[in-house]
Amino acid sequence: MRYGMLIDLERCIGCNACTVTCKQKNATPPQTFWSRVTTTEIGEYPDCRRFFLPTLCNHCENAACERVCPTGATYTREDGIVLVDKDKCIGCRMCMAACPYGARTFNFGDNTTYFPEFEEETPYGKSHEGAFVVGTVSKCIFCSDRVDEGNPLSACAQACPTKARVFGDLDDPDSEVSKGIREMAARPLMEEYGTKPCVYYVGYKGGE
Amino acid sequence: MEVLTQKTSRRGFLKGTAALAAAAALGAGVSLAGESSLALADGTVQEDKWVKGFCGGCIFTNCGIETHVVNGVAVEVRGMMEHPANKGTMCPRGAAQLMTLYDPYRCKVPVKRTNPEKGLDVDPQWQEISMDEAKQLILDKMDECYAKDPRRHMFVYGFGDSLHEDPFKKLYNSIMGTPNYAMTCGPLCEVHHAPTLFNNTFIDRVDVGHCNYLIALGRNMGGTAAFASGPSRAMADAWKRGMKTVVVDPHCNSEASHGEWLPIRPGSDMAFCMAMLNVLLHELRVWDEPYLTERTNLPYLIQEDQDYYRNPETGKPMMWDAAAGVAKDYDAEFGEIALEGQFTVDGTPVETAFEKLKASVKDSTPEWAAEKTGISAENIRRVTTEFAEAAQIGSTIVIDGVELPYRPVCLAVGRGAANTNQGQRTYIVGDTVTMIVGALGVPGSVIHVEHPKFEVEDGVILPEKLTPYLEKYDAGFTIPMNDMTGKQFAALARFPVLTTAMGAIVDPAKYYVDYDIDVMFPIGSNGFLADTNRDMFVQAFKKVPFTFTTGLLMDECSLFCDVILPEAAPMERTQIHPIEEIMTAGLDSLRVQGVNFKHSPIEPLFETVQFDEFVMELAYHVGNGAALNMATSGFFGMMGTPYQLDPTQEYTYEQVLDNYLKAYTSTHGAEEPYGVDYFKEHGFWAYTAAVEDCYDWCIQGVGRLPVYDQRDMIVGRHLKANIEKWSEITGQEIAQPGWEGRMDEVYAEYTPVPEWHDSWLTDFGTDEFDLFCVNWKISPRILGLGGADNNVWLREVVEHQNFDDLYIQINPIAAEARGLKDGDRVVVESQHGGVADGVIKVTGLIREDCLGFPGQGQHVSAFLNPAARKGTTYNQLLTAKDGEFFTVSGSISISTRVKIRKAE
Repeated sequence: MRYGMLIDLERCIGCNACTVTCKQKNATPPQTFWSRVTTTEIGEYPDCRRFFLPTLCNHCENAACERVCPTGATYTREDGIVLVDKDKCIGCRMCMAACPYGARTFNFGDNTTYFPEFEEETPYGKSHEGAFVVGTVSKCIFCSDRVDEGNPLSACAQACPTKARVFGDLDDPDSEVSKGIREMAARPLMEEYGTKPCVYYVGYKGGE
Repeated sequence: MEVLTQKTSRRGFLKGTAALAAAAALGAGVSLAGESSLALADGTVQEDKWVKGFCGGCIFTNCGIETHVVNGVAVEVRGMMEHPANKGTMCPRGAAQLMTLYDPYRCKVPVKRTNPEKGLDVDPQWQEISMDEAKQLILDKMDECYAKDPRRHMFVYGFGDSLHEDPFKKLYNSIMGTPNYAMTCGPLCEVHHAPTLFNNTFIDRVDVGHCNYLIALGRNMGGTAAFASGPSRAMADAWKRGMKTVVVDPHCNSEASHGEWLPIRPGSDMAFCMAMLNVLLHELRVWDEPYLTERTNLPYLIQEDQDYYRNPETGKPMMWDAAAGVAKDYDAEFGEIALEGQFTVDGTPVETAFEKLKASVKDSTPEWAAEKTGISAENIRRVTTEFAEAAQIGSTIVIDGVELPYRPVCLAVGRGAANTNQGQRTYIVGDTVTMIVGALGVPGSVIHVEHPKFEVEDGVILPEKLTPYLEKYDAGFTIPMNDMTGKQFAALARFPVLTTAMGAIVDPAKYYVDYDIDVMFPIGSNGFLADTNRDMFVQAFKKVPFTFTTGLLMDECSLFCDVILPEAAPMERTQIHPIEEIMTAGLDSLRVQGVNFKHSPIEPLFETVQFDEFVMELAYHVGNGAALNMATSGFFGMMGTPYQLDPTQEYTYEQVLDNYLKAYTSTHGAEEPYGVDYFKEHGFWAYTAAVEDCYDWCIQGVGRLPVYDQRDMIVGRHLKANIEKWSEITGQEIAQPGWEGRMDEVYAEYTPVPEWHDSWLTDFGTDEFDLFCVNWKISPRILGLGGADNNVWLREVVEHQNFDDLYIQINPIAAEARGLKDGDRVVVESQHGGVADGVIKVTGLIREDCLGFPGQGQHVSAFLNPAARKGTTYNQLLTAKDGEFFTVSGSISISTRVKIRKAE
């Protein structure tokens, strides 16, 4: 069992549904994006176009972040999901330096609410209090909470309006994600770092 | 600031620049009602449930959602996996709804203003009052108004309040007995006339599930704006299947990025379409002969005055029987119908409508269009040739046992093309391109949405029979005008002419009106931001003695109100919406039909009202209950069913919906009538429509499509006759306000075939306004509806995560020529006097003669989130002035010419 994801860039429209879905499902603080879409312009006018690249933690099999973590706060579950134990995180940010994908965010404590001008947090905000700790690092959890509830489908993969994302078990050759990777010759980003990322892309031509 | 607080703190309103700080100051002491029940002190979970409903972040809210409620708090929203439209997905707007529900800037208590002075920077000095008192104030004013003249009440609506959910925005006037209404969402929505003519549907959709070659002309196909109900998925599926997408647009959107982008100069879309017709009809000589001959009015014989040649004895239009060599009534037996040719009938020279069409585009060569569009003649020829080849004229397809013509091509016209000068005609010409290859109404092309409604007159399919329509039009044309909609002059208008409606409030005599508006009810409309002439709105709203609303946020419109009833957030409303893909259909969404239902997943946060309930209260109060119940029964298809509303009874809105849902499900094949109780549990009910119900081809065979637009030409002639008649009666020169002395320009727009007219928009290169401004929908913001402008998650994406952010986009060529660079603060001035300022982003994704304004914003109300006040005021660059809007429809141009300079 090793959870992974396939992202088909030939389907992506850069709408940021994944970005907002992740944000509301996990109540991430302002300017913290576990899931995001980077849009760049490629080519020269008029032969140019937009290129959308959704990114998130790659839940690497050989996770650089985990190897450099001095307290064991970053760990890999048996199902391959890489998590951060915020109780063990000391905020050294070695993991952020080690991650080739820039997938981690440090909580400086200066941007914890969307409504700093109001004295009280919204009921929604209150209901998620404690989810983020100042002075620690956070990142995408591959919706491990949903996996643990028996719903192995990440919120971003469910939400994607073009069905560009497939979430599933990379160890199962018959899973939709494995078949998709195989049939469409999907590759991870920046394989050269040797971290064995578990997020695969279709249509990434490199350098775009 | 009372409106923002549950426990009033009576803070003062800060004027001028200090007003920008006001909203932040409001926060102190703000408390949200019901919070004590939300989080349990010991952290235990007493309630954990998912509540089914549908989304509130869109115009057409097809998507089913589920809300996770823990201890009374909505903590997560997700798409409903079993819902046949969105299949578990959501767009960013749908995903962000919780921040609208829990927005601390919401209106929380009923208020009345105590400062009679009104203005965008005037403190209303709100006073918190009880709900009963607030309602009574409104009812008393309505009584006074109705005692004088119901016409003195005006209703104003827009997209802000989920326009297409409920019946009462469309029925309000018939229920309340006033002809006066205005729509802040109409003038930039010139996309309904051609679909009504050719697809007999208010809005058309594209069957991309079967399409192989799609040309999007200023149309968002569902990718750029991200519609999760099916369009985004349908486009992605089509791309993976190999459909070619050609996006003809001033900016390179996400759809162009998956296909080919042809940057076109704003306002020249009709020239592009005319050139395509030129290539098809004169160079390639490609058309679908059987389709044009049997399914359109192009074989009808046309006389010199451009009207049908009619049999003097029967009055019927005629066609030429080439086999017999004679003209016959259109409904006679024919040996061979002539599509081409000039003839003489009883001494009268005639030619077929097809010849008229061909002649109209004889000179609109690709070279001619290249001058206007900026697209090379070579590219116009290539795209037209590819289009013609991909049409597979003569081929058929079998879908679920039904054999249909197969024309997997479509020229899809959208708002970006239709909302420029001559835009209504542009849409017609665009559809004509599609019809020439036989593609309209068949698999792979542009098809209807709701079940087509049409009549047949003279053998031609029409939205309604022309003769009785003209009788009504002529009878309603009076001086002074009965209403302020301006439709009698803009004779092809689908919506009220906003300039006339607001202008007539300010200066009735100028608009041939002899009474004033006393009470105004704006809902979900904010012309101060959405439309082009903010000063006119200020004048109109200041003049009306009493204005009330049900308000979600204290936006610019609310600032001018005398009484505000706090409104339920979209997630808190009890509501229905048909499930029906209205834009872009894929294989898995084409046949999906049904109805959505929602109710609040949580206890309402504040003492709020829902628009629908309050309209019912108003109608019952003024004694229009019977009209309400009958109109509602008609709208909801309940007439003649056991669920028809009793005219003598009073209902709640939930009771009305219960009747509707039972009527709908029982008449669409459900095993039993399902009411509100069923829907509270399941959220929706859906069925699969028959293939025959999806394609116009199967239904429209009883008549011919009006490709030769004789209908609109005749309407224009009646406009002229009415104006001449009333000029004679009144002894003064009557004219469409703004076109005094230029009425020939007005009449010239009512043409049966394409006819290019230059305008202030296309007059490029004649003055210092050497650029065009354009804007477009973006996925975190479409039309500013559903509270999106005040939603912190969406604004955060706009500001930090989206390519189309708050900057003004300029092409590198244009920037270099003007010495501008990334990050420069600039001032943009339009040819109509509007001004916008902002910071530029240099990008090749915009045409070299255009400025792009993707992330409209810049609200001015100090009561909104500061995030809503960032951005640019794009709409203020445009014009809706008399004499400058589209004379036939009252719509306005989405683009105008501008100049740019570096800010000092």
